[in-house]
Amino acid sequence: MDQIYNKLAIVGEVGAGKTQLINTISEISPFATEARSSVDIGKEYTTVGIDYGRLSLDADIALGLFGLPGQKRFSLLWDMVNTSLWGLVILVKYGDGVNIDAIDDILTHFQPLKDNVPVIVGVSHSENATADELDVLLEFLEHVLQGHGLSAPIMPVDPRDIESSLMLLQMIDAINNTDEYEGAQLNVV
Amino acid sequence: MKRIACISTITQHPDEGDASTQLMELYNSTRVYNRENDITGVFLVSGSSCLQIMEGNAESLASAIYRMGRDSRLSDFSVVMNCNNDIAEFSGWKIRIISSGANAHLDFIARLKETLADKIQAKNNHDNARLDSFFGKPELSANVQPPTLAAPTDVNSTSKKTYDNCVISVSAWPRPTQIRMTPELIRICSNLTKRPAHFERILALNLCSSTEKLTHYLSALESLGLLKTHSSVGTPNLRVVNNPPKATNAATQTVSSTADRFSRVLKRFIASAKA
Ligand SMILES: Nc1nc2c(ncn2[C@@H]2O[C@H](COP(=O)(O)OP(=O)(O)OP(=O)(O)O)[C@@H](O)[C@H]2O)c(=O)[nH]1
Ligand SMILES: [Mg+2]
Repeated sequence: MDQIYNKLAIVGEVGAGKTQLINTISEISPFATEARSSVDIGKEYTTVGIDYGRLSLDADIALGLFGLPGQKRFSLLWDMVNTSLWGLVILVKYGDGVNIDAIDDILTHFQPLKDNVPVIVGVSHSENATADELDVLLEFLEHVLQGHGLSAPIMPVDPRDIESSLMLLQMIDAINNTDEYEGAQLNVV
Repeated sequence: MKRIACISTITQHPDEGDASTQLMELYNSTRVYNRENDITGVFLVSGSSCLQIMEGNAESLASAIYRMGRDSRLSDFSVVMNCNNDIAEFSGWKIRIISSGANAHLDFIARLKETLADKIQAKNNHDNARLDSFFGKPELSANVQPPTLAAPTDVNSTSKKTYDNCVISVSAWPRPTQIRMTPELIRICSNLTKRPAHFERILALNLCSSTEKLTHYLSALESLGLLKTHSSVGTPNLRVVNNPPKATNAATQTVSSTADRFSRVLKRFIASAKA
């Protein structure tokens, strides 16, 4: 039995890199939910349902990693995972057609602000983008977050890379460990 | 080389996705065209108003204007600046979405205003009102930095500025394209995007290895337009540094010590995995 078990939700569109990220971080393979995709989406495997991975940090401490499809019609799966989250990672696949509606849906549904859950937006498949191109997308994403009253880190991530993947955990940890008390209760406008 | 500015209103097509998606498509179509025709500048959006400032050769600009005048996604199209310029002010074609509370852009707009606004001429009251949504806000001048547009942040420049008597907050996370995210910067942003704190308080949190480093990061954030400083004069209570009792009952204490332990173990794991 785990003494401490925290949950990280990773949500994103098809091919964004959820399974890859979970594989990179966790020490065990995700459950056998990998199935041959029936539609040709340019990749061989797509995940049906929830991806699951686990990062054991100590004999009785673990972080559960839940990969969730990004479309609203899967909100039933979102609800299964969206209870006392340690963090929420939204994976966005870099490219011309970023689906901003889907990101809106995710934020509306998960309500991270209400539960004080740290959010990070990771932009994957972006290793060949120029800084200028990337900047434009980051700007858009910032705008979308602001629409939800959120200020969150938005950063390129390569789920195939250990260090880049761990950076996400490091960020969420930092946001979870902020100075909760005192502070100036100034109303900043 | 010519510089042209035009203002327009973005028309909503409710059946074609939400406003952000439509905006992105609109920007994308200008991006492709402008890249092919060596047009640089900025695509500014505030609410439903769109102000495009473009530099390039006269012919390319003329056909860009022609295209936009016929784009059904834009209406009330009006050219508000048309002048010659010797030096390019912009290096690429970028979008800036000016929304209320987005401090990051106030600084940019302030510099833009300083450099270009006197050359912009509204033809009528409607243009004026739309331009006001970009340049008109009185608080814009509060943040004015030296007026240069080409200012990539030099994070290594030593700054003598101190924040000793300031209450500080960070309005938004910097983009990794603007500044390198280090663990120290992550800690600063995590703490200060949530709520403002007095400089002494931040020092006491040991977010950085030295006071100089902290000051250095804060001034880097300031030059990106992301730092809000509030003088604490007249608000002495903000100087309190002592930690109040963290948790008053046993249950909350357990929660926080569990979180502490998780965080400690995770940090150790990350450090060893990176090594
Ligand atoms: N080049 C590149 N490849 C990536 C990146 N992220 C993921 N990939 C690859 O993209 C492919 C798809 O990634 P998956 O992890 O299967 O994507 P997913 O989000 O689980 O997709 P679904 O299960 O279909 O929803 C894999 O081959 C990954 O290795 C990235 O940042 N850059
Ligand atoms: Mg998958």
